[in-house]
Amino acid sequence: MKSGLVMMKPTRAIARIRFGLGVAVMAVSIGVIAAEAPSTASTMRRLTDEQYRNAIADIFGEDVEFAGRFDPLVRPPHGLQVQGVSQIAVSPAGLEQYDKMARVIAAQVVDERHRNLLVGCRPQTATMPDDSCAEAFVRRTGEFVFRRPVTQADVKSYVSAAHASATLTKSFYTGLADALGAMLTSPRFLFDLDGTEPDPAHPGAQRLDAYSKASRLSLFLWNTTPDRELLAAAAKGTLHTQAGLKQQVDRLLQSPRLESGVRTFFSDMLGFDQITDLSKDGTIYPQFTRDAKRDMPEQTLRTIVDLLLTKNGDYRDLFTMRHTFLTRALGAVYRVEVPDQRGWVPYDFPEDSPRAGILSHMSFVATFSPPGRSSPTLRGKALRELVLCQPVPDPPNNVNFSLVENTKTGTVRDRLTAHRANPACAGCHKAMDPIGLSLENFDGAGTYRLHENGALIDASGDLEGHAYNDPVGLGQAVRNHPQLPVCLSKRLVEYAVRRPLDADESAWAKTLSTRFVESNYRLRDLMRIIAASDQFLKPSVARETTSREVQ
Amino acid sequence: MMRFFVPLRLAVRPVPVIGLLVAVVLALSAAGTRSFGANREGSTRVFLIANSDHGFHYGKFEEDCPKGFEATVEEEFVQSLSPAERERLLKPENAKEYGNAWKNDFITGPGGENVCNNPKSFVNDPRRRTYRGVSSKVAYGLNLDGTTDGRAAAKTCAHAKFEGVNGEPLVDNQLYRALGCSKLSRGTGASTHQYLDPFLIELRGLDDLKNNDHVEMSIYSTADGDLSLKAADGSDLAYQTFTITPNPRWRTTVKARIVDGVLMADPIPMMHLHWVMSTWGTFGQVSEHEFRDVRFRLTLGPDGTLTGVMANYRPLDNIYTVGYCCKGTASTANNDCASEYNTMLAMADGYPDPVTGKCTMISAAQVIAGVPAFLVPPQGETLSAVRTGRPGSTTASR
Amino acid sequence: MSPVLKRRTVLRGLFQGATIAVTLPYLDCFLNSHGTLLAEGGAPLPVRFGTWFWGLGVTPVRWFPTKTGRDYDLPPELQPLAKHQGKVSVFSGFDCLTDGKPNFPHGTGVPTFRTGTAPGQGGALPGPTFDNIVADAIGTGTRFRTLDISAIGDRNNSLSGAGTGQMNPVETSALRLYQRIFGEGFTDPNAATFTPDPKVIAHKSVLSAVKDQRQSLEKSLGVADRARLDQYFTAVRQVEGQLAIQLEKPEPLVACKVPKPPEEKEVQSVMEDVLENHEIMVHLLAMALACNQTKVVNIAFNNPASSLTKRGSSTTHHQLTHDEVIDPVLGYQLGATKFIEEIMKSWGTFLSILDGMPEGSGTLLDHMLVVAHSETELARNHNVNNLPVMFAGGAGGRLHTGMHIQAKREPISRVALTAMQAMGVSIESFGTLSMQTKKPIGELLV
Repeated sequence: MKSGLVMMKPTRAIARIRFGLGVAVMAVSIGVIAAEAPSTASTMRRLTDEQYRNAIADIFGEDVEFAGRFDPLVRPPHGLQVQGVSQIAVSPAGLEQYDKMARVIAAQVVDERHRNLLVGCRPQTATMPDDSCAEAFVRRTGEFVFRRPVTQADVKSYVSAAHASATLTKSFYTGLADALGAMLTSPRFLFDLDGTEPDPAHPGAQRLDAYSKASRLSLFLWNTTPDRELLAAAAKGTLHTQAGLKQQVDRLLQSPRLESGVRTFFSDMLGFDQITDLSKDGTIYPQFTRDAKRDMPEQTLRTIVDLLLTKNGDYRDLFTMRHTFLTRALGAVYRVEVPDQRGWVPYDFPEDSPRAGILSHMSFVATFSPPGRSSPTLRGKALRELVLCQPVPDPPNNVNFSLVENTKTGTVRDRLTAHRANPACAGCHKAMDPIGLSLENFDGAGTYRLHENGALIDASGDLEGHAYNDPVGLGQAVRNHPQLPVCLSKRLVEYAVRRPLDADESAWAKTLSTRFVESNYRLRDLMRIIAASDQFLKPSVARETTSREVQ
Repeated sequence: MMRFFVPLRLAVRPVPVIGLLVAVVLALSAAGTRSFGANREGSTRVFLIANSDHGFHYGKFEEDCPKGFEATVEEEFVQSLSPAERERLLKPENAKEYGNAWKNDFITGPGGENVCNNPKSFVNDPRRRTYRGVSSKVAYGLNLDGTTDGRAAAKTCAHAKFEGVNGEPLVDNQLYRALGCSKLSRGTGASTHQYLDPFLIELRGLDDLKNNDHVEMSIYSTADGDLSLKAADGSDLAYQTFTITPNPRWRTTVKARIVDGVLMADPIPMMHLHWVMSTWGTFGQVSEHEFRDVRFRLTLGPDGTLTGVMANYRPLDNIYTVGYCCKGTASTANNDCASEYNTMLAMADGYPDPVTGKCTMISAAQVIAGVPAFLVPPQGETLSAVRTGRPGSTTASR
Repeated sequence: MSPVLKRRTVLRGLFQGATIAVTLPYLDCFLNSHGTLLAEGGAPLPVRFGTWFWGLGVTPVRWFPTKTGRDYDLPPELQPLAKHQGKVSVFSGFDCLTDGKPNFPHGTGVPTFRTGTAPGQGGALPGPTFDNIVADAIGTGTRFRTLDISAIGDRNNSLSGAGTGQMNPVETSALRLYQRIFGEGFTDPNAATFTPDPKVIAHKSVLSAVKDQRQSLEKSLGVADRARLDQYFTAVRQVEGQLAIQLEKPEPLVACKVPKPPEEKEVQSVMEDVLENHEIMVHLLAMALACNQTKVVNIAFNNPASSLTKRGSSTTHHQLTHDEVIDPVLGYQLGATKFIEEIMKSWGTFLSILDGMPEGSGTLLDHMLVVAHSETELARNHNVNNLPVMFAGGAGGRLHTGMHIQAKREPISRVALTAMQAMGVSIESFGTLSMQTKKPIGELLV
């Protein structure tokens, strides 16, 4: 292997792919290091699978391949799955996976295809340690991996590791890969840890340090690690100023990358994680093909992104809008023409169609149905909990479900009457069943039907006093439900902070909904309000301390 | 390199030999257990015909084929040997020589051609046979020649009639008569429910489903690459959208009527349907099926399905083009394609050659089943333009 | 404009300024800086992998169990596996999805299952086979990355490769296989002196470096978070422990005994010869595994369109599937079924050999995963759905065994993904288009 500094052009294959750390060898350099990052950490939230993936792609480029299994996140009751990151640790099997992933990534970063761009310097000899090159690498890579500048202690630790490993293995690059592997296995990469510092505006109180703020903003809005500009704003301290913060928030909100976060948020809020394990009886629902199952969450996410981001529309319209996107496989479920062989086509359900709004999408009506029938109760419960944030208790454990599960005769409305007549059941079921019954025109796979077992389906219902006759009417009632903006605000705060809300935050979420309404229900505005707020950027409070001590 | 050469269409769907009739009936009735929204508005309906069977009616084997299966190529070979040679070759120690003799020499012609790639060049080989044909009395199909006794006429050659099972009493299906006892198509369970590539039938003017004399029917192949998705239970997925083929040769429009719930179309002088070759060697090449004097007799199910029969004369040349290939059909599937071809020539009952007087086409029937579908016109065309294609307006391919 | 491009550009060119060179003190002694290298309890036995292929499928009604889960029923064609049932899992309902590509008779099933992508050409590999991916992960430390055989004598019968057009070469002669393994270059693993792998030493050491951050992190956390951080570091210690074990001299390979060379014998598809050749060759492979000469073996009993014949007959197994009359009473082809039964017996023979070699507290089979499968379900229809597949062995405790896993038309890539994950391959997703999956079979993974 040649040594010395050689200016090399990236190969074509490499040039096609975008790099976070792409620098030519001659330009090897390191940034002005900020003062030793001080900080005390008060809470820790694990990166989600997507955040890990996005971070690696952003730092090292999308052609760095890796794969592995992540410890699954546990959805807290009535919350978002992402809130599980504040409660999960790392299991030994999970760490084994992290360790493997880190080593696979690190090996690629230093391989012959990538090292010129990603390592950024060349060792004196490839078979020996080179601390100067290793240090340069640790400093510039570390800032991205740890989402803040590396400390002197870090440099010492990782350069030593690289040195020792290079000595043992007689390879500079193996040593460097080992050091990078250790960085990527570090809790400071795997967890988002709050750093705090004394707040000059409030003597005696602590504030989140600028890099922690940058991480919060980026993980919330982009679902990934902070980019160069955001880190620079943190380094300069401008994130602590109103103007500087606003500038960054606006920049993040205007980026196409906002879509990644918005998709993740709605997938989580609408329970799309359940679709992976969803199965239907193929003899009852032959239209529930593998292709349709694959496409159903995507249909709704495309609809959401189109309305809320592309068109900057009114959130409430999600529940009434006719415009959506379909594939041929979905067309077979909805029984409409979709000419495109493989791709997605924009589609408007006709004005007289029973299909309006995302509650009429497969992603809702099929997801919240058992394998061989529909379930007004499941759908009603999902609607209450996911969209209106009105938790419904689980059923008592001595219930006889046989009556409801006999689907051979009549309509489910008749069968469910038993629920509502039995006082032990009625309390909850009257909150779920009536709204679920209004979706009965959609069978367990989501196909429209007029009859069940030959009997005409009565889809009339009532949502908090607003009566309607069909699923379109239900969509209208949900659209105008006062809890709708309250729930979205709450969910978005939960998504932003990635942990269960405390009392103050719950109250804050309520006040946010007023501002959301004032913004004419624009999602971007709500995200802006949250992202730029003191409440979002305040230090998380360790459970055993009181908020007063911190503020 | 491909090592094995068996025509795919002969071995696509699992159907047990004795259960074939049952299977066809079940396949048709299974669709009936499911509702396809028969209450759809409008007087136009489109059906995807992805299920088309070769229309061989398999009754009791002893009655249909009292002398057993037709000879395989290996059996023909053994019978062609002198007794002494037969005894020698059948000894276990000569198995290799024996195998080579029939799997190579016997199926190869003087020019190196293979009996299944090129059966025509073997028709004068005395070792090839003409099959006995089926003895059964009943068959799928329609009365194509209009006679009750199958006597020769201007456009037909003399042949026997079957009792029909599709609603007409006396029907023609000489293709079934020729091959209905063939071991390959009957004995090994090889059959096909995709005898034709998936195609579309559009019915217009369906304001009355009981009696209706102003129905218009179009038969379209689908555009290249329009995959037919399968449903979750493996059946044909209803309500898929297809694009009509841009090739006018594969689009036919004809008048039809419904009498007592039975839909019948005017005879179509000539019809072509798109066909993707599915045998080794020409795998994936686009070809076409040709049909003459095509008639349909169909029933619209209350569940939204369309089932019934399509009957027609098949030019032997066309069968030859789309159906024959591959050494493996002889050496592995043990079929003598020349004997098969001889039989079809002998039993052909339509379109006599003006010079020789021998018929060049053979009567046949396809049992078809359709599920609801959507269609869109090919790019740059309108539906109304696509629908005006006149029956038989296309020209013969040769 | 691509949003992706934009974000990359944003991150690009970030390091500007002056180079700072810092000299750091070297660690005094890398090896000793983190305590002893040796852990108690001895080195773990390596986990080995294999594939066992047979051509022309099964008679579905005579092969697939009806009962799911443990203690599944054994239809006639599975009977030869009776004594191995506790270590064999059977899969049903897993399909090879071709995404509109043709089903090449006998040429689609193997590439689709093994690569997760339907081939555009019969028998061609559109990507690396899963056994190849496993070999990349576990097979590089031994003398042979893989050993591949074709017992039927067909030298072209290779079913594994990297997907770049190259297929693993296959050995068809027992004698040549013997010479490769035990001839020149063979060193008795039990006699060899042990040198710890410097890469493992380095790996363990950098993991220890992670632990150094503990104190600085811990002091500022609340009680609950501190407990979570503790769990993290406990996990680090466990992984470290696993690495420490690898630095020990491995336990003697008690089952490793150099066998006698077999006789040279030509095999040309005659069943009786193939059975014998298979038994000798898998014995040699089992010994190669036991002697740690390889960690991955690929065995093909016959070829996808099986050219097997009985001695004294010119009728091939393949021919029978296409020209043998279905028995009208029994409903299947008797002669073709006989071949399947013989093949299943041979599979049982291989399992008996593996399970007869003691290793640690179990057998070689317990420290192995063998994936057995065919290229079709019912060969005469060339059906590649419901492909018959089995797992044998516990993969060193990483797999539950003895289950019948029944799926409803799921992509078969899930089975391959499960195998790879059980072998510790860091892979999250396998297959393309309809075959793409991230979902291993949870019931099997420990």
